[in-house]
Parts: sequence; C-alpha cells; structure tokens
Amino acid sequence: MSTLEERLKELERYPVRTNQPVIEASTEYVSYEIGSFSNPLLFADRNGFQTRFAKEAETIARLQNILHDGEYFVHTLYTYRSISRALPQVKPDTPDKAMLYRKMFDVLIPETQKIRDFLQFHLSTVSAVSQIVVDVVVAEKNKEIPSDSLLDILIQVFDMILKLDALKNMKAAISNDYAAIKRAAQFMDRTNLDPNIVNFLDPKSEENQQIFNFNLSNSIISGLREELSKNSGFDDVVTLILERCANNFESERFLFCDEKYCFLRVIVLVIYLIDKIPNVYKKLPVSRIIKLFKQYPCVPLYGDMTFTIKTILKSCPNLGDEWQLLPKDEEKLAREKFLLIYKLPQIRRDFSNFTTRFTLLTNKIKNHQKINNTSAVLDPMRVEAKQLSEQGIKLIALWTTNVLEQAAWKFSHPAETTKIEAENPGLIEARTQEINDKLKDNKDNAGSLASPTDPDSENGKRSIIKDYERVVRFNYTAEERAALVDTIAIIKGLEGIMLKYTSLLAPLIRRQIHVELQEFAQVTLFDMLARTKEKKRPVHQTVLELRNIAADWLNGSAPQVSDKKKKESAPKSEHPVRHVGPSSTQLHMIRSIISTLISDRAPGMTKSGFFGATDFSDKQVEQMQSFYDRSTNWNHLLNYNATLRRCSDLADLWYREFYLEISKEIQFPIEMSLPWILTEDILEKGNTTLMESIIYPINLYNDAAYRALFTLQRRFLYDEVEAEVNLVFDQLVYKLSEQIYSYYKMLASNILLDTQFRTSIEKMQKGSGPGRFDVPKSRFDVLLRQKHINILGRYIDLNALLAQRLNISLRENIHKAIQKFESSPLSSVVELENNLLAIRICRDLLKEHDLNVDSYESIFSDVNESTSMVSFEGRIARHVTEELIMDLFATHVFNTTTERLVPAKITYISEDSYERDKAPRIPIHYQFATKSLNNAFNHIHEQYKRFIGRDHIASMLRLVGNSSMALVIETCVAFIMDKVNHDLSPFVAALMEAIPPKITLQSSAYKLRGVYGYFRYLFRDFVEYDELKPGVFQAFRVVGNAIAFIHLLDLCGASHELISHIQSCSFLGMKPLSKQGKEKRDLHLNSEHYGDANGAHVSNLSGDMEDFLKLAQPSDLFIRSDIPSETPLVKAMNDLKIESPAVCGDLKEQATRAAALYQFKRGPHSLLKMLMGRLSTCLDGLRSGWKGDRPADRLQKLDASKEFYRLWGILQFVFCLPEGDTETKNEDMKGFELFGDGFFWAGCSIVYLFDQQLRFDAFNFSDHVLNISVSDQDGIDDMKEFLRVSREVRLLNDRIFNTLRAVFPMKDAPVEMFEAPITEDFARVKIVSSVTVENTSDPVSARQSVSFRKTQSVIGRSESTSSPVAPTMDIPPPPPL
Amino acid sequence: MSANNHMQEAIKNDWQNRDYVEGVSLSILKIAEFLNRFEQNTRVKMGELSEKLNILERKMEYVEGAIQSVEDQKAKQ
Repeated sequence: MSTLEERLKELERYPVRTNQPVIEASTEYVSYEIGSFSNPLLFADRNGFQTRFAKEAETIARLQNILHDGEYFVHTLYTYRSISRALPQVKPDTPDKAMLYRKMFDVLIPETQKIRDFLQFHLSTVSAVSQIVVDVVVAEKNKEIPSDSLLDILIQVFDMILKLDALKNMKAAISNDYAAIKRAAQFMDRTNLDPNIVNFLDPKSEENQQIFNFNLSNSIISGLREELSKNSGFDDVVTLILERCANNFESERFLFCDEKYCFLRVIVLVIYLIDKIPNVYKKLPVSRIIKLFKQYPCVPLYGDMTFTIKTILKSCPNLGDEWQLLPKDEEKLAREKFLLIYKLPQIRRDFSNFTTRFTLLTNKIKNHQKINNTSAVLDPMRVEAKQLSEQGIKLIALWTTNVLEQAAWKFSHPAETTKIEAENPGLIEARTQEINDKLKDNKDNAGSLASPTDPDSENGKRSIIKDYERVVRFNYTAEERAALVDTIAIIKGLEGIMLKYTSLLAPLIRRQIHVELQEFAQVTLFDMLARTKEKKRPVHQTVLELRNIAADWLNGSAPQVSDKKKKESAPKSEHPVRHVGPSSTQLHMIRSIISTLISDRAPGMTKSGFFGATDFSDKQVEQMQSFYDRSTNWNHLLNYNATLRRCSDLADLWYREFYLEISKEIQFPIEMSLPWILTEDILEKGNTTLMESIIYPINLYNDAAYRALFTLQRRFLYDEVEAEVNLVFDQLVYKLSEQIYSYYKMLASNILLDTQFRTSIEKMQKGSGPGRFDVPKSRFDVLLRQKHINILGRYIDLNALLAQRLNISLRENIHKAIQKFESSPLSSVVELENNLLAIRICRDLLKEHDLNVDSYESIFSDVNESTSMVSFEGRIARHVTEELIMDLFATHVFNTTTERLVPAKITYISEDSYERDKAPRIPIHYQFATKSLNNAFNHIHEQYKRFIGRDHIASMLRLVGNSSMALVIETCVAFIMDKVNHDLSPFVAALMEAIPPKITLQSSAYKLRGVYGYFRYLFRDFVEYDELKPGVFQAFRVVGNAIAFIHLLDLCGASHELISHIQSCSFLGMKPLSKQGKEKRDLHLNSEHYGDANGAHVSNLSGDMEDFLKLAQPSDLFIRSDIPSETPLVKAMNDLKIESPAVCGDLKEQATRAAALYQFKRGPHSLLKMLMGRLSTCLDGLRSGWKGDRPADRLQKLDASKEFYRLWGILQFVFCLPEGDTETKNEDMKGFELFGDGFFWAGCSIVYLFDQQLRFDAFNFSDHVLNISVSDQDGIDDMKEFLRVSREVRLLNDRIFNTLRAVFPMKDAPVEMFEAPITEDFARVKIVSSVTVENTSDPVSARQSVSFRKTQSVIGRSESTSSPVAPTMDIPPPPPL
Repeated sequence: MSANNHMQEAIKNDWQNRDYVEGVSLSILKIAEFLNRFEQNTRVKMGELSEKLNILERKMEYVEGAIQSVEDQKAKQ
C-alpha cells in the first residue's frame, strides 16, 4: 500500500501547465463518481440486517422500482413529439391510399406502443401504490408505525404520478397520434400483417376502452383516487403524507429544487385525493397549507412546465375558496421571493464569504499534508472540511433553486403584448410583414386559404408574438438578465472550485462521517440503552439493533450494557480509522429506526398515566433528532462530485418542449433561447465586467446536452442542442471579435492621436471634459487567453477562432481604408497613412494579447495586391499613379516656395474625363472606433485636404514603398516623355514657326512704354492665340508639374536615404572620425580651400558649389573605412572556418557583394538628375525642330534667331501680361493662379537642357522690360502688374536654373573663338560671353511676310483654330520714340 | 445472543471490506484526476503546437502566393 500511496502522490505532483483563467463551468475528460445516491442495488442486502425494517425496505425497493420506471415515462412524455403532424394528408384521390396508410401505421405503431406501455404502467402503479397504502394502514393499526423513509418515498411516487398526469394532459400529440393510427388502421393494406397487432384498436376490445378513458384529462390522478377510495382508512395515511410534506417544506428538508416543490405538489395532490371524504378537512391544518399556497403561487413542475395549483384545487369543491384570494401586497411579496435581483446581493455575499473560507481551508489542508508528508489531517480541519462541503453543496443547490424559481415565475407570468410592443417598436410591423409575405408565397404555391394576420387585434398580436417569447425573451428586464448571468456564473464558478478538490475532500468527508456515526452508535446510544434496559422498555431491543447495525468496534464486539441503575461514565468511542461512510442500506436502516423511535406516533413516546415516562428522555430525543437531521445529507456528501453536478444543473433554462407543443413549432430560433439571449445581452453591453462571464450562459448548453444524452436519452434533443450551439458559437465569435477589434482599434487610435492635440480638444469642447478619450480597462484579456473551453465535450480554442476572425477584420479594414483612398484625391494619402497606422498599432496590440494575427506586412501586401515578386504594382501605387497622371499634374498649381501643389481654380480639362470609384461605407470600428476620435482625426486630416506637399509625398513614399515607387516614378517619367513628344511637340513646332523674324531688345532710349509696347505688339498674335492657354500653357504645366513632383520626391527622399545610410553604417564598418581624424580633416579642407586647389573637374561651378560637392563626397577624411572587403560582415566571413566548402564555399564572395550593395553611393543621388538625363535624350529627337534655326552668323543675327529660348521668352512675356487688358475669358485669373510654377519648370528645364539658359538670360524679353523700368519710370503705373509678375518670374527662373545646375551640371562647352568684326555694322551688338555654340547652321528661313504699320491700335487677329496652328504674324514697327 | 454476535461480526467485516473497496475507489479517483490533468496538459501542449503549425501554414501560404507569381510570370514568357 505504501508504494501505491507513493505512486499516487507522484501522480498528484504532475504539474499542469496552463495560464488560462477559469471562466467556464468545470469540465472533466474522465469523470469518476464515488458512491451513488440513487440506491442502485435497491437494498438487496436488506436481509443481512436483522431488523423488522428489512420488510419495509423491500416495500421501498418496490416503490423505487416504480419510481425508476415512472421516470422513464416522464421523460418519454416530456420529449414526445407528434408523429401525425409530420405525416402527409391523404386526399380522396391519392393513388395507393391503402399502401400509404399502411406506411403510416408502421411509423406510428412504435409510438403507440409507448402509450400502451404507459397505460399498463399506470394500472400496475395504481394498484401497487394502493396495496402499499393498505399495508401501511394495517401496520399503523398494529402500532408498527412506518418509518419516515417510507413516507418520503411515497411522496416521491405521488409526485411522479402527478407529473405524469400533468404531462399527459399537456401533450395533445399523444391523442392525435392515437387518432391517426386508428384512422390508418381502418383503411390500410393488411397484407403480411399479424392480425393480433391491431387488436387493441378494435372498438370492442378492453384495451381500446382503457386507452379511451386514459386519454381523458386528469385520468391518472383520478384513477389513483378511485383505486385508493376503495380502501377505508387510506385517508389517514395520505394525511400523514400531507403532514410530512408540510413539515419537510417548512423545515427545509430538501436540497434540490425539484425536491423542494415536490412537497407542495404532493400537498395539492393529497387534497385532491381526499376531497370527497366528508369532514376530512377538520383533521387537516388547512390554514397552514393555504398560507403555503399563498406564498408560492407558482410551482415549477418539469422542464419549462409550471404547475398551477388552481387547476387541481378547482376540482376540490369541499376545500372552500379561500385559496383563490391572493391579496395584492402578497403578489409583491411573492415577486420578491421569486425574482433573483432581490436575492443577488445576498448570493454575492455568501459566495465571497464561502469561497474565502473554502480556499483557506483547502490551502491549510494541503500545507499540512505537505509539511508532515502525510495524507492525514488534524481533527478540526476534517470537521471543517465536511461542514464546508455540506454548506457549499447547500449553497449551490439554493442558488440553483433560486434561478429555477425565477424561471417558473416568468413562465407563469408572461409579458403583456402591449408592453412588448411599447418596448420593441417596429417589431409587430416587421413580423406581420414577414408572416404575410410567407402567406403570400404559400398562396402562390399551394393556394392555401389562410387569412393574413391582423396586427391590431389582441389575438393577432398574440399569434405574432410567440408564447415562448412572452415568457422568456421579453420577460426578463436588462437587470434581470444581468443578475441571471451573475448567478449562473456564481453557481458554475463555485461548482468548479469545489469539484477541483474532490480527491482531497472525499476521504476527509468519509472519515468524518464514520467518526460521527461511531460517536453516535458508541457514545450517544449507550446512554439510551442503559435507560431502556433499566426501565425494561420494549424498544430496548430496537436500540440494540440500531447500535449493532451502525457500530464498528475496534476490538470486534460491543461492550455489555449493564442493567444496574448506576451512573456509568459514558464510554469513549473506540473505532478503527476508516475512510468510508455507511452503505446506503445501512444508513437507510439507521435513519428508519431512529425516525420510528422518536416519532410522535410511537407507542413508547406517549406518556401513559401520571407517573408514566416516555422511552427516552427529552435530551435523548433531542440527540437522536439532531443526529437524524445531520445524517440527512450524508448520502449526498458521500457522493460529493455527482451531487455537485446535480446541484448546479441548469438545463431547465434551455428545455422548452412544453412551449414547442403548444405553439406547434419544431424548434424556436436562437433569439428566443435563453442562453443566447443572455450571451447576446453581454455582447451588447460591450466592455463590462460581465464580459468575463460570457462563457457561463453557453455552458447551459452543456447541461442541456448532458441531460438529453444521459437523463432523457433522446438523440434528437442532443442534435438540436448541438445545432443551436454551432449557430450560437459562430455568432458569439463573430460578435466578440468585432467588439474586441473595436476596442483595440479605439486604443490604437488613442495612442496615435497626438497628446497635445487631444488635451487641447478636450479643453476646447467644454462639457465633454477631460477623459473623453480615455479608454476603459479591457475586459477581454481574460477571454483572449482562453485556449481550450469545453462546449458539448469539444474543446474549442477560442483564442485561435478569435485570431482567425480578427485576421479577417484586419484585412477588411485595410481593404476599406485603401478603398476609401481609391475613391478620393491624392491628398487623402495622409489620411490613408493614419488609418493604416492605427490598424498597424491595433494589430500589434492584438499580437501582444497572445492572438496569432498575421504580420502586418503580409496582411497589407495581401490586401494591397502587392504580394507578387515580379510585379511591383499594388493598389496604392496604382491609385497614386492614376491620381498623379489624371489629376495632380493636369489640374494642380505648383508653388516652388512652399513646395506645394494646390488645385487650380480653373482647369483646362473636362470634368468627367476622370472619375474615381464611389466612396465605400465604412463602419465606425473600421475608422477610429469612436465618434470623438473620428472627429479629432477628421480635424487633423482636414489640414491636409487642399494641397499636396512634403507631408503627402513623405506619406506616399512610405506607403508605396521603395519597390513600387520605382514603378510610379518610371510611369511619371514615361508620362513626361509622352507629353513632351505628343502634346508639347506639335505646339512648339507650330509656335516656332510663328516667332517674329526679328525681335530686338530695344534700347532704353525707347523708354519703358516703348519697349513694352514693342514687345506687346510683336507678340500680339501669341496673346490672341486661342489654344495658348488650354493647349500650350496647359501642356507646359503638365510637364512642369511632373518635373516639380519628381523634384519634391527628391527632397523628401533625401532624409530617408540619409537615415538608412546612418543605420547601415555600423554594419559596413563605417565609423565616425576620431578627434585626430577631425583635426586632420579640418587642416586638409583649409589647405584645399585657401591653397591652390585644382578644381578642374568642376571648373564650371562657382567656388562655393565646389566645396559643397566636395563635402558631399565621402572620403577617408570623413569616415574611417568603407572599403567593402573590410566591413565587419566580410571580416566575419573571412574568420569563419568553413567546414563544407561545397555548400558554403562562396559565402565570402556573397558577403563582399552584399557589403558592396550597401555602400554609400558617391556623388549626389537624385531623381531629378535621372529625369533630366532621360529628358535630355528624349529631347535629342526633337532637338532639330525645337532648338530652332540659328542664323549662320549668329553673333550678328542674334535677334533674328529662332531658337527655343526665343519662343520660351515670348511665352513667358505673354504669361506675365496682365489678363485685364486682353479679351480672354478668365479676366480675373492671374497666370500664376492658373498654371503655377509648373509652367516655368517645364520651360526652363527644356531651355536648360538645350543649353540655352545663358542666351535666354540675356535675351529675356520680360527681364528686359524690367531692366528698362529701373531707369525709366514713365507709364509704370499702367504696367505695374506686368512688372510684378516679371519680377517673380525672374526670381523663379533663377531658382529653377540653379536647382537644375546643382543636380544636372551640363558638360563644358568647348571654348569658341570669335574673330573681331571686320565691318562696323556689328559694333552695336552686345556680345554675351561664354555662350554655348553648336555647329549646326540651318539656313535662315523667313517665310513669314512682314509688313510694317505705323499704328498699334488695330491689330489683325489670327484665325482661331483648335489644332495647334501657327498664328499668322503681323509684326508692327517699333513704336514711335 | 449468538445471532447478535454473528451480526456484529458480519457488520464488522462489512465495514472492513467496504473500507478496502473505498480505498481502491479513492485511488481510482486520484488516478482519474491525474488523467484529467494529464489530458489538460497535453491539450495545452497540442494547442501550442497547432498554433505554431497554423502560423507556419499561413506564412507558407503567403510565400507560396508570392512564388506563384514568379512561376506565372515564367509561364507567360
């Protein structure tokens, strides 16, 4: 044994590794029940105990058999579903009618057999019970009073009979089925049928008559009454039963709900049985009973059935009608007795007190056992263990009873339809609509004649709102639902705590019961034996019997009882140490004997004569009574875990067979099912403490399924429970995940929201107060850790299921965010980034809580459709590109100073040329989770709505990512090329043609007015050219915007690149310089700067620029080492001893390559440079046409050349002209407002790439006017606007050219040699130095007819053409000086 | 009286036997409890394993998808 104990201890030490908090009812994979309280052997060992009660035990065994069979019929009746309802209607013209009927008969016969069995059972039970009652009457007369145990079992049998009667009355299905089989038997085909099988249907047969009678209502109890009334004196026995019931009920001798109300029900039945006996009520405590009835107006019967006392008392005319009067205030009292909300505070208090004590005790016991290395415990611990176990069981049973009482109350007090209507507006209408639609469908299909329901009448409403809804769904208020959940959680929680310690407590309980029994048998009884022996009482023998049955002597035999009248000191209890309680027969015998000994009716307990004495002294009676009471629950205690499970069985909350029967439904939807109603209620309340109890209501299904399988033994019920659970659980996971997502999204949005901004909003919006954005504590954490909850014996990983759903939610959310972006302009890219950031933070938070959500990157690239390794497209990149090309370049105005693109007030493209997708509707938890957060973020996003600037570009770079960005840029570049080639090129070609043959920079002698007027006159055809703005300027703007955009990208990317460089430095072996290194560098730089530095390679740049570029080039003076072969990575590879060269032989090589790949690129890194290079090559093709004709002797004929810069000068001049005095349509529109700086970026870039910027600077027409204006102020007021714009343009040009020079330095032009002019004609020509000259010499083509006129007032207007056609030129003479 | 003694003897034996049976029964109870704990432990471990496999599976799916794109590209060429 010692080894066994050691081994068991070893098993006990096995650790459990789980960190999941318990939030569900206890579940066991292997359940082992020790002991049994159902007396499975039916006192088979009764004769071993030599006492007269052995015979009584036999009777009890018989009754128990009846009970057992009755139970089966109770289950059968309760779960009986009508077969006949499912059978097809047989119409007169149905072919093979006889066969059809035969089939029906075959189907119905097994069900009918159940009814016939039931009838037989009823008949046999009634006669058996009647016989037993007669026996009891006889025994009473012989002064052999029956024990309380016999009365108790009789009560149970009576109760069962009552239940059967009520169930039979309720089930109309039974008589329907019986009628159906009768009808089928009449017409069926009887071939191959045993004729005996239909005998019972013969109207003349006895059984048929019996069944007919049996089918009448109340036939079972009336049958019992008839049978009993045949025996005189039965009323004495049933009165005994009634008294016992009342006593038991009042002194609370019950544990389970069913036991409690069994007493009340039997009282009613007894009254029914004896009502016809004259003067019977005089013997009865009628007022006491009626008081009970008034306190408990509704009595649970079975499952969802309640027992209405009135229905039976109505057929007891002799009782009077006092019971009918229920005063109103008692109604209120009853409510408080039945409704949980009034009891919950007490329940909570009891629960916390009890759990504290219980946990304390178990810890104490475990500690004691551990320290002393023994399984024995101290006596007080053991006493407390037993006492606490009993108390716990009682508490659980009481709470369960409370829950079931409330359910019964609700069942018998359905909600009023008017109240339901008021609380659920729209419900009736929706239902009526639904029903009428269904009717319509039916009519179309089958031509049914059902009339539409009238929702206004009371009956109509009743048919719309189902009875079951009235008693369950709409009958619990919100507080009642919360209280119910709380109570269920408390019941199941305590059950779990207590079941956990079964193996610890079971031996202690057994030992304690053994000790108590031996104390009683050996000590308490000793005194009584002495008294009865001394007084020579006949009961002495019985007491001796009692002691013999109970005692367990240490030395094997009992001490003798002396009959001397002396005060012996009471012996000590000496018994072996045993961990076992009395056997069920033993305990039954002991209790039976005691109950008869102290019964009031026992002959020895009545005083005879004046000096007569009773068998026992008052004290002894008290002792026996106390032992009797104490041992009531021993059977339950010995069967600790089974009792606990039965105590906490709440399956009744699910069962609804009664309501299914009366509403003729197959099953109710889950919205009417109490477990789901409770679960949904918690879900709707959201993040509250109840959330942690959300699994408990679902555990009710476990109870229901357990009952279906093991008690009712009905497969179809289990299937229904299972189907409902499947549905409910799906719903639960769906709704729960939504809540969880919403909560964490809120948290994420809060983290994302700028704190300062948040506080200022909170301050600003008074009333909302601080803390408006505070996130409540999460109640989901506990739920998220549930990895194995047990539902219907299946272990479910709630965590994994939630993670699965949340993965979907994350995807959906990203999808919605991108979808929203796709439906809005590019400026919403900031909003998209914030949205995605919130999702990302939300995802990280979820991951922190043990949820296995996918990595953000994988979800994002999945939704963004950028998983492909070969295509670099993604949804965001696609939309960005689309926006850039379709919207941004064409309609925005670029501002170089602010580096922003702003939508132009007037666009030259049609509105409907570009349409975005429709904006999706986004649920709030896919935005920023709450309204106030949404508002806060909207404020932020509003700031970014009307422009595209650095923030947008930075966002875009981050969102599109490096790989896809390349695609976007490439598309932009291709777009620029395309625009240049196809849009710009024809215009330029045509306009080149129209350049006046000679444009001279007039001398200042012509004064400001003259010079300005000259140019204006010269360029008038350009001004009047209809396609100038929508065509030419627009094309330049588009190209320019695109260039500017690339430039912006450069600016934003630079910092990013720098950061990534800094990050990779340490891996590449680059280190900051030491102090000496820095000094050396300074020295070096100084010597380079002030010494004769040879900057030949950048000779075309100024000195400052030179230094700048030098600084930009990393050298040994700036970082210590960046030689690829000396990076830590390569060094590590070099030091590595390679074991298998075949596999990793080329590791070194790869390391060197990797290091080289990450090397910092020498030289400025620029997209604009790349663009310029590409543009330059593109322009190569156009160069011949655009660069223009150059006069052969260009030095002499500069003012007659037709190079691109001349055209650009003209366009720029026209651009600077104020709109007011021309007659174009958009009079109030300034050039910059219309086209922005993009226009100049395009033109200047082309000029620069043609290497004409110096000549352009020299021959810039608007600049010229500006220069003149310095010396001559005359008429300046008229051209203020022009001069202002020109000044801006000059600055802008400088800026653009400088930028271009910085990023894309042009090659040195070869130095050209010029001969001094031979004639004096050219002495007046100003020569601009270092002009790039190319050796092309196209012949001068001056095809335009030139005519001079004296005035400038009348200007010939060119024909307006839609396609770019050169305006006809009509060059005026220089204005008069 | 002898019958009485006989019954006392029988009851004594009964107590003894039932004590023995109860001892076995309580041991079985402990074993059942161990089995439950063992089962729970195993379930937790299996759960963890399944979780890891799930993660791997999802990652594999992603990688497969990415690789498929290359193969599709190859097929096109």
